[in-house]
Amino acid sequence: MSLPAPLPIEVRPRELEERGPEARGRPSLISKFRRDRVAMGALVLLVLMIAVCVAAPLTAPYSPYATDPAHVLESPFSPGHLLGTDGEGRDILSRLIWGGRTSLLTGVSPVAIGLLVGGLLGMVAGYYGGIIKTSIMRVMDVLLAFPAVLLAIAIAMTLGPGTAHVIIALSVVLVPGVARIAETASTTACSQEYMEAARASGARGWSIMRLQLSRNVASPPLAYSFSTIGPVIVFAAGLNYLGLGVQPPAAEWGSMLYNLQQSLLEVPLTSMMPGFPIAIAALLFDLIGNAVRDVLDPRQV
Amino acid sequence: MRSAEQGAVLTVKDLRTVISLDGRERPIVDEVSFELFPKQTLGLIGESGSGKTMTALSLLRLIAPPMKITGGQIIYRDRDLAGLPMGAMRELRGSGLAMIFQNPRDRFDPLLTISKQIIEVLLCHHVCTSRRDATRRALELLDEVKVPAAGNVMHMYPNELSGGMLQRVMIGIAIAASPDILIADEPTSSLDVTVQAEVLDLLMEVQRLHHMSMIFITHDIAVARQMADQVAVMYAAQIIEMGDASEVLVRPRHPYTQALLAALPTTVDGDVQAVRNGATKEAGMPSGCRFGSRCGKAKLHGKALQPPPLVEDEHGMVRCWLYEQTAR
Amino acid sequence: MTAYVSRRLLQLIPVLLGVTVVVFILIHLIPGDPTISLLGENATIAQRAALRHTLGLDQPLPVQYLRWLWQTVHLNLGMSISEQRPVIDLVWAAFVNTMILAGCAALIAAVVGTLLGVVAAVRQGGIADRIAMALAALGTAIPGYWLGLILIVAFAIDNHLLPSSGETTPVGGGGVSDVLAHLILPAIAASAAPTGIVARTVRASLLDIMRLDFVVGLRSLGLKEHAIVRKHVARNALPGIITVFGLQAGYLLGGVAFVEVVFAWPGVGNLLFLSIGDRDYPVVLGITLFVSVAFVFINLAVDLLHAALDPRVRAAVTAGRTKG
Repeated sequence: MSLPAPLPIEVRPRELEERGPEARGRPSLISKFRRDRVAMGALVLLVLMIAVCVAAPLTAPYSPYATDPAHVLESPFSPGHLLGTDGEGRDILSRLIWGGRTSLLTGVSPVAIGLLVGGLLGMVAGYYGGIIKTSIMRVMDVLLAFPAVLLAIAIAMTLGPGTAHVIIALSVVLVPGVARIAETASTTACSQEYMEAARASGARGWSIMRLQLSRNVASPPLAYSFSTIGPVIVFAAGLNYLGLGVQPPAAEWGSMLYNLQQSLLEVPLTSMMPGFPIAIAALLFDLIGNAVRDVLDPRQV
Repeated sequence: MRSAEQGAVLTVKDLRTVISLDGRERPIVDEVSFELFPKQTLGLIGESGSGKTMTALSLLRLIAPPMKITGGQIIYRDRDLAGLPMGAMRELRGSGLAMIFQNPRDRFDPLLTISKQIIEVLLCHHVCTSRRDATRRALELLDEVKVPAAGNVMHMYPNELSGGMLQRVMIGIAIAASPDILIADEPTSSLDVTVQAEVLDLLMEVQRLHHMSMIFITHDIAVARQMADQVAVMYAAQIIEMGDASEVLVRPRHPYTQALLAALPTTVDGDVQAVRNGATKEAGMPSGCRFGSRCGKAKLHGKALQPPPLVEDEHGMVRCWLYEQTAR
Repeated sequence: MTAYVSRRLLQLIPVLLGVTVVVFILIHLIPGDPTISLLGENATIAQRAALRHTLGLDQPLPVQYLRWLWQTVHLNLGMSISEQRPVIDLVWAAFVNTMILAGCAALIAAVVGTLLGVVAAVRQGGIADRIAMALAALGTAIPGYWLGLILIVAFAIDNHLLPSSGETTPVGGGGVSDVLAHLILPAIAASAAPTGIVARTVRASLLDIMRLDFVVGLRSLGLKEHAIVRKHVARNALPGIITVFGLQAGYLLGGVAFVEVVFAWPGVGNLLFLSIGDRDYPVVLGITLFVSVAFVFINLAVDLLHAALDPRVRAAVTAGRTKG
């Protein structure tokens, strides 16, 4: 029977790292989050919202495309239409539920993509330093030189209509911010002593970089990205409002708001309906984001 | 114990400062008593978490919620500082008692030049009445603390100076209003070894020239030996031994002091880390001897579960069951 | 300080070049024939050939870039397809309007945001703090364009208190007070999000400073509390606060776009929106280039202001440790 292989190099540096919070008797991240009641409430509501939208075929009373010329621009609480109807007689509640899938997707995917791509770029830049870092970060600087809204509009327009293009545009806008944060965190982590020890013991690049996926390096970009979800949802709906994303008659919160604006004088409450889910979703993500940030990066009182 | 022929410049009696955490109050300075005599240096020794910095901050009433002073007296010039109104206390800060800190870089306003910061203190305590006067005096102070090229330094910002230089400047600012008592909280711990010696020499000279008393806080026994006349050892918010430096640092009586001097951890359960890292913070304060669970000699008397007596005799003070029989 | 300024100016150049490169890439990403994209579908063969020649579209890309850059630097941003006017004229006029709106919104954000932030920091943990931060959260969550609609409904439709669109009243208007009346609602709508951000940042900044060790140090020297807050805490918080103002103002340059569309305010965002509908690529790209260059300079101004206030920033750059 052969001897077990020696422990891989990457295990040793981990021992040098502080032991996890559980070992020290401090509450784990999840339980700390659980204690924030506001955040937990927000999480519950958000999950509810997402569930309703995902289960659109079951939850929406009507098809989002079903027009009804006899019941155009009904106010909320009219019979059969809880939130009223739009200019074509389509049920607003159903369109909000169906549209929510697009709106939420367009809000969350760019953040996820931005986190992955930006985080990776930042880590690579921070770890390798030198010319790799300079070139990557210079490109990020150039992207950050554009006002975010303009860049997104320009990219989305260039690529053409469609949700995918909006997602791409927003991702491009988000990547540099995340990359900067990740680079700072990575550079700091690389200068820590245990990194020197790992390098001196011959560990290869990949194992060291995996080591970097510890709380110290992953937390700042994660906390930052989370805090951008709310604004990105608003931003994405805004781009749709301008006509850059979904095309009629597809349902989406932002484009619905644009369509209904022309009937603002006649039926103000109905016309403002699509704004509510945007604001609510953004607020919920904001509350949760605060709690996430407090957990990952607490300030010492 | 020293005879009281020279009046003490500062008398601290049973000082108690607590911190409110999770609805409970825990002592961070517990029944601390000592006397400070003119031109004398008291060394306050202990590890982090022992309460020495908190004691110093309490003396100057620099305590903010969730911490507060709950008992005891701090008698300076016939007034009890513990109960003094804040306005009067502020006047005493800098002019009666002054403090210098461990990391000088953190103690300066990063946006102001050195000269502005010295002048502000001089004007505040009315040491000088005009800016021109204050500028001149600031230069003199910098010379006194041996800051080279004082004229240039005046116009520099804190981030342009080294730690050693900043510490000298901080000493200069501290003595600007001629305090009677200088509290030095680990002033050299963050400096290079080579610079440490210079700063310590400077402190002693400044003390001598200005006839100041000094409370010197440190965790470094060697430095305490060099600087202190009297020494008080703190553990878990209490003073557990006190006396002349020549006695306590050569023939320590309390097992904790002995461990410190031997630079060996004292263990019963073998947890080296705990002794080093101020385990007092995490363990609840036991009602008996606070060092008991780590004391190698606790078995000799078997009374570790009860608070040990405070024994005062000709050698000094010690809070330990081992010396019970010499208690008067 | 001069060394810092020169260094920052030098750093601008690669960034500006980078901006032009990105716009150039975007031009070439447009699907279809570039001459049609830039001239419109009604362009004659002769016009398209002329453009092909001017831009050197049959030449290798780097050459094309340089020729395009040469034109751009001479402020020739092409012709608007729908208006048949030089893009630069359209963009400049719209830009001035956007600056007015963004400037107003930034002012509101600065004043209200700072007030909220200071109140929250000074009464930390109390009810004022919570209310202020709740308002800030609402500000950042509520879409500016939606707030605009709400304001219109509240103030313009039934009450006719305030106008709901445009910059001036078409008939009988045009004076400063007329513009101001048209400015109020969009400025408020556009300021909601920046106000929230400023409030949060001011609060965090003040709390951070008050926690710093040097405040204890100053107290130990016997300085009076109000002197400490006024002379030291406020001044130390200022650079960070100003930076955030500046960032928000810069962000607003693009961010007011949505509000402009809601209120038909004739700014850059509105022009952009109309151009998207008309597929007027020269205008869209011209706006992107122009406003981004302006944005770069605004950010530079904010940086320089920050450096003027904080000696550590000047030192960091001079020592060779530059940002990013």
